[in-house]
Amino acid sequence: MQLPLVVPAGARRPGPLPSSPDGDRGAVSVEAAFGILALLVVVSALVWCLSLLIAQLAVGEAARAAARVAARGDDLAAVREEAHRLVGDAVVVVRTDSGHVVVEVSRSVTAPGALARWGAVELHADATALVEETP
Amino acid sequence: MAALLLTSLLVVVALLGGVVADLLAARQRAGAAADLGALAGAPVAMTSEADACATAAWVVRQNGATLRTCSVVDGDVRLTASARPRAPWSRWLSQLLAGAVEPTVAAHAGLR
Repeated sequence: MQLPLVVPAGARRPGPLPSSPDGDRGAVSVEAAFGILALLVVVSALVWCLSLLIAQLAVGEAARAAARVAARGDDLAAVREEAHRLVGDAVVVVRTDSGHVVVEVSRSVTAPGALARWGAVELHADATALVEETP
Repeated sequence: MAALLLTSLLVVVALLGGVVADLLAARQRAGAAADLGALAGAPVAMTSEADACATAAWVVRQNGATLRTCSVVDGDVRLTASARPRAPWSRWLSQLLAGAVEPTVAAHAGLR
């Protein structure tokens, strides 16, 4: 025996609900887009800071190596060349004082692409060595 | 909520990264100072241990570090130098986490 299909009063046909206030549509995807954008900015900033650290360590290493060369009593050209060997586009300043020599290595780095608007960062390191008296 | 959590996590990671960077830079300074200090002390080591260590101490200080130990063994200057991290919070945090504040590096040099 078949029951008659009863449709309650006020019921509507199955299907999607009539859309609620239209402004909410796509709210989730806009939120996600902003979240991903913010994450992208933060992650690229972190990567940029990491590359700055590596560059700074390279500059420090160049200053130390150049000061070693200067301590050996080599001439100015050799000192500069040693620093440039380790950091290609470095600015090298060598100051000689009574018996000791100060090597200053600096380098200006600019972030790649859109990060460049944050401006250039000046990396700097110096090292002091005594010059061995040549007998 | 998740965004807030993620952001604070990233801030913590960034701070820790800053401390690590500061410590690495300090370690590099200590290493360079120890290296150049030992090199400077070596020629003097033949004549006087005190003079060699005084010379080394001067060079180490000029390089932004502090001489910790210094001795001359068979004309070989052996020393350790340490450097302070630049930022106060990284000194504070590294002491809190590791109990040690200043990276220390040893070096030796001699004319033999």
